Amino acid sequence: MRDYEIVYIFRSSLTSEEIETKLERYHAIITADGSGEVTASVHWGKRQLAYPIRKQPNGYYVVAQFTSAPDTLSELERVLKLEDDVLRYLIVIAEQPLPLSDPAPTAPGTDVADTNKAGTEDAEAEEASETEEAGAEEASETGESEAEADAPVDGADADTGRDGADADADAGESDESADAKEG
Amino acid sequence: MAFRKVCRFCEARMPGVDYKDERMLERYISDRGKILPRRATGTCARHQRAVAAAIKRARYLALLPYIRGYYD
Repeated sequence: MRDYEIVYIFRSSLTSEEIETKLERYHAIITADGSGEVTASVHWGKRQLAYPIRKQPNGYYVVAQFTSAPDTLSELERVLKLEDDVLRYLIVIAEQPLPLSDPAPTAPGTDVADTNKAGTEDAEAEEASETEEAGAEEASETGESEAEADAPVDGADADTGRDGADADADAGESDESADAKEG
Repeated sequence: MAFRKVCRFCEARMPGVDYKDERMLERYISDRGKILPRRATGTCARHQRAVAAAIKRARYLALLPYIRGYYD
């Protein structure tokens, strides 16, 4: 007896009843010899695939853990290979118990896009604020020449009028941010 | 890519690497979907092997792309 973990990717056009029926059928194979047992089963639901499988952009993911004799697997695999509605499956030896809920139930593609987008937005925002500061400091320090290049923001213009007394202390910093902006 | 002295998985005392956690694995692949080398991530040798295996499983399950930027 061994602990296994199986991930199914069903065709996302199936209804939830159809998926349940199929799962019962597969799990019946596991429990058929009387010693196998399905210990956990989690539906991740419909997700976008990272790449199309059989021209399908989406798949319905189900993860299950079970214990069974190694001999049972060949029968289970035979059935799964014949099944047209299972886009893909993976049976591995279970390393750790399943978390009760999926940490990331959304599609990987959109996830990636979202995080990337958020990341770049943050970076841009940071950069923008840095250039604003840099522009302001340089403006107050050196006057017009730098300000024209580096101060597209209104706030910088407002600062230009101020006395440059405290600007010298920040000169090094402003140089750094200017460099960062170039790169 | 910031260099890390200590392997994240050793720090977290994780024995294995979960192939189902594609958000975590995302950190260990390049923007083209390639597995990043240890020198880029600071992962120890043992965990790098586990990460590589987990990424390959995740790719098979379409949780991660084999190549990024080709289908898009």
